[in-house]
Amino acid sequence: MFKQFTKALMSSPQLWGWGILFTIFWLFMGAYFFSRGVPDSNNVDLAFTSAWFSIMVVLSLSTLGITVAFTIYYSTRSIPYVLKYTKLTLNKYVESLLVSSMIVGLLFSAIMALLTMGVYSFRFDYVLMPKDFELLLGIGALSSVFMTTLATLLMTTMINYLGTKNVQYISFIPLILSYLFGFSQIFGQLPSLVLYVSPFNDIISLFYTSYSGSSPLISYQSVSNQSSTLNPVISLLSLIGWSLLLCVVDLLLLKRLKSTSLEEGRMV
Amino acid sequence: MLEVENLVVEYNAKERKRVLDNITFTLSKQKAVVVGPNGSGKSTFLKAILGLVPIKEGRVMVFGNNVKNVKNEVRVSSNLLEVYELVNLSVKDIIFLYADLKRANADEVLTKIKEVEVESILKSKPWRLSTGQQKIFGNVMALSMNSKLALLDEPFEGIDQVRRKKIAQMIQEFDGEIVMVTHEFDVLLKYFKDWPLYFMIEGKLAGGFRVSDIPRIYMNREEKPGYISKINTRYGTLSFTLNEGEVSLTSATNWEGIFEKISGEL
Repeated sequence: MFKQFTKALMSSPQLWGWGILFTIFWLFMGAYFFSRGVPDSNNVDLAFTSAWFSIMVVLSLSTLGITVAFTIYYSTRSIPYVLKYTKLTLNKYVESLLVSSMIVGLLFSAIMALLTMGVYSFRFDYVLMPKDFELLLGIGALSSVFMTTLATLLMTTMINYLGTKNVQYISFIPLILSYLFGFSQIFGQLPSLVLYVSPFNDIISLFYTSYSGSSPLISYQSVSNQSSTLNPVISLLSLIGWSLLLCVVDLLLLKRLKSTSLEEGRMV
Repeated sequence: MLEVENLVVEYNAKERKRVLDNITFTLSKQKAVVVGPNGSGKSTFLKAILGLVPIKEGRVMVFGNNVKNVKNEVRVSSNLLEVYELVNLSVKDIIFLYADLKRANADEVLTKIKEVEVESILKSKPWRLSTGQQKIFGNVMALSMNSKLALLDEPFEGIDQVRRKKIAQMIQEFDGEIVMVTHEFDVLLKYFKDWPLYFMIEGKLAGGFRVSDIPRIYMNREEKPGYISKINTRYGTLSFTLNEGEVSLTSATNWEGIFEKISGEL
């Protein structure tokens, strides 16, 4: 049933609106507002472009998390029904959800890469292509798995234990955390440990590597100083670990999913 | 085969509001109807059978399996729209998805949609349909896809007279068991006269009648001599008799009217 999930996600105007169109705004902000004062150097241009690409794509994929959260919320009665009275199994349901998210994540990463390439090449007057497009797509798929498992965790926790009155706000947590960690990495200086442990920063680091072809930076405050770098392998392992852990917890929570009144969530 | 034994369902764990109170009900190769006023627990009864509400006490068995543990039982279906909201897709896509999940043929559903002349709903998303269209979609899904036990919640709500007749015909021709809940007497007397009839009031169930008995059924305060069935309510005990009694069920156009009358009498 991943085809139907994919079709449902791809036909969501909110996902396209917030995931692509709104992110383009930030892409232009990075290219034409925040690029003032960037030293005139090919290496710095590529690092700057890769940094903005990595932040933009994590914001874009976090909207996928929001869409998945609402998908689960609105199917809170149909999930127990289909698990009891159709041939669908819980593992198959989760697998379909993850595969469809990966397809959307892969597509969104590719679109963001092409948009970044177009806008920043125009800005810096020469072609700034991603160095490793295959890796970029792979990270896009993996990151969407993380966003989906996080959204599923948040929604099932709300439904099962905390009630659905604040469900509208909770579903935005992936986006809020993406902004928080993303812009902290650009404008602040987070400790290396946080950058490795935080899955949002792992995603940013890995997208940076795929676009720039070099190790992710600890701080983007001064992209001309690229001496302090992170090990992308550790970031990759951390992201895989988070995704696996959340996937296992999601399966346990979905197994106990309570049917809830949608009206309760609408009464915000 | 449906067996409900001493079923208790409570909403709101803190207040412990009892919605279904010690319900016992058996259906074997039959079609039965449950009537009662709005808020009496009829829909909750169906949801409990579907495993969509937590069961406090008792048990529900479908085709010999406890609903708490049942898996992959494709013979049970319902017209409740909420069970078809797995993905936000068009009615047509959902028909094909559920046909796939139930290992059934989607053409059967599409043919029924055509019979009821509502092909226009196929391109819409279910939540965008009118109440009547949602009911038609739910009914058609419940009465197709190899189902052998269909749980129908107010199957005629919002549906016009011409299509009511077609839906009633589909229900009559359905090759399996049905539990249908409604609060409309007129449609029952018109199409389902030979069906067993149960009353649900304040989460309690009383049976022993047929739909064709409705014009002869009376409701009484307390236990009237010769009563056939009784229910303990917050107004005290209400008993049901045939041919004579205090308030005739046909003295109002629907169940709410009768209940209001009895409440007034009390």
